[in-house]
Amino acid sequence: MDDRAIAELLSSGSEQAIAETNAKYGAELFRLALRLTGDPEVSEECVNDALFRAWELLRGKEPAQRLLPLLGRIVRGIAIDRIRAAGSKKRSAVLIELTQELSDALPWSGSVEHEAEANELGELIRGFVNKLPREKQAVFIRRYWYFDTIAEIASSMGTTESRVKSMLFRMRKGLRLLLERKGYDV
Amino acid sequence: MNELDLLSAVGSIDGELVERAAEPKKKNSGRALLIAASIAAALALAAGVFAIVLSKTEAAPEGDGKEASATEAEAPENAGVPANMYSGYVKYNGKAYIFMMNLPASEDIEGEFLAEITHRIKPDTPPEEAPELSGYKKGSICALKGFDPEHMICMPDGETISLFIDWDSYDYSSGEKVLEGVFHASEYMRGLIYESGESVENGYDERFVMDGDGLPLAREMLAALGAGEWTEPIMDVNEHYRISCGLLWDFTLDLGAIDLGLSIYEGGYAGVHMTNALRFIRFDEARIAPFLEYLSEGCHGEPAELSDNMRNLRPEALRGEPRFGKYFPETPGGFRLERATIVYEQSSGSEPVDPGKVRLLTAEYRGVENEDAMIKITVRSKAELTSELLGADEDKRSDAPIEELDASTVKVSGSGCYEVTGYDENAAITIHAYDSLTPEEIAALMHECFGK
Repeated sequence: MDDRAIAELLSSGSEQAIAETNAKYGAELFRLALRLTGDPEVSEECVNDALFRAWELLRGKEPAQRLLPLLGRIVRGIAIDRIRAAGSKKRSAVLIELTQELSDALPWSGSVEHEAEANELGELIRGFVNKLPREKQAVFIRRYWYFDTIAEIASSMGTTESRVKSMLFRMRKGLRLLLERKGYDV
Repeated sequence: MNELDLLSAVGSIDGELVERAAEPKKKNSGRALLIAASIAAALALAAGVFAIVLSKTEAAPEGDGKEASATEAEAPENAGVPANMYSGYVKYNGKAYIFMMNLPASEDIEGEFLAEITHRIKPDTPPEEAPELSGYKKGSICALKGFDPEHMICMPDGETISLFIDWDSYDYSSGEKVLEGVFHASEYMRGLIYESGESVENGYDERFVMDGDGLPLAREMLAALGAGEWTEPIMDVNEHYRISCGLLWDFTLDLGAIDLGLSIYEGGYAGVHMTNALRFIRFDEARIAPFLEYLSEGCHGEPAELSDNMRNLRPEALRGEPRFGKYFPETPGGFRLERATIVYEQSSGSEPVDPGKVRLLTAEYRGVENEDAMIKITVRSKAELTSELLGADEDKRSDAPIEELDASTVKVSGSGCYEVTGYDENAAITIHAYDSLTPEEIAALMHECFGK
């Protein structure tokens, strides 16, 4: 079933929507969740939660235009919430690697206390990525949205791992400068 | 805010970008296409990076060579350089790496460039150790700390001396300052330290282009020397096309990103070399004289006598020559002359210029309405043509005597443009038309410009 048909099902609130969405995107969503959590059982739960949440969110609304980014956002958020709840007890190797990398981009260590700040941060990141050249956008998104490994990114983009690392490093530096300029430091 | 917050916030990225990032990279995009294009156009690009856009040309008046040239020409700062194309070279550890790189527009364009160079030269460099820009001038000239060329090396090669200036020490904000740098560096000529072992890495998979930063500096420097108008560029591509008459002094300034060569010729002319293109500028002799005198005191004795030869190599002078003049056609309608090159060989500096020895002429015309449209006319002397065509595959040739040309002899060339070659008793003329003329129009152009 194509995206348009699935989106209409979700919009109509049909119970079949969840099954169809799972058939098309379940594997990819599971992969995203597994990369973050490192736990297949937890990942399965994250995917189920994400599908249900999407069904609730989109019911009665205009059919969504891009399903994977929307679903991916939901499952990522759910997985990250589970990780927060679990504390530092259980973190996948991928997550550890990603958070170590992203510490480069942080001006200081703290936490977002208000939902408003979380939205603002999201907007900031969106703006930052929008301004990147296309190739860098792809590298950044594949690393920090899809959680691809450096090797996977390099291979699919036909370049070397060192180049990918270099690009990511510079982008994290750029992101940190942006965050500092926007007052995310103390 | 912590790392997880950041990771969560990444989820807000536009869905369109997320989808696009997942698409497989297309083959032959980006660098691969650039490399293919650069192989095909390497010489033309090298000569054309600083191409002069000609507003109009007029026949030169007779004179003693000291009058201003009638050729009105401008040298726009980035003429011939596509947007976001970076070219030049960087030296590291005794080697020069030629670069040709197409970088998309970005706020961090310098960072992009540095990252690319670092990756190419020292692929194992940790990202945090990437070099920084130094010796900045107007955002164009740059050198890289940690990649700077060797300090003050003189390489004698007959009349040619290359001077590598530690230009971090010099202020290039004005031509006067640059001149001081030249004078200062020339003191080292006395030592004439020979340095060998420099090589150029130019495998095609390692070529980048960095932006043409030598031109603004060259113009400043030449303005300080009282330079007059620019003339058409002369391509010095191969050794046997070298212009060897009347050369007095030849210097190359290594600016880190590019060589700026200054050749002082007889007749008050100086040539500015940038990559492989040689341009003649008429100098104010009064301004040059002290410079020459200073250099003479170094190690090369008295300058040669002055002559008119260099003036006679310009197209407007050759156009009057009965036998060869017709090969400098008027600009086709709807186009403007963008670039012209002459390759000339003369063995002795004392011989007068013989237009019959002009080996190659190219003229490129750019469409006025459609800038993608281009016509390139290449004229080769008969002698050179014969040697080139010996053994050529007759089935693939698109040539005939000019009077026999028609649309059927116009072929599609390998690069997707139309091509035809016509002969007369003195030369062969090839017309390439990119995104512009039909075969019928090309044949008509050939007849109009070069027919009897």
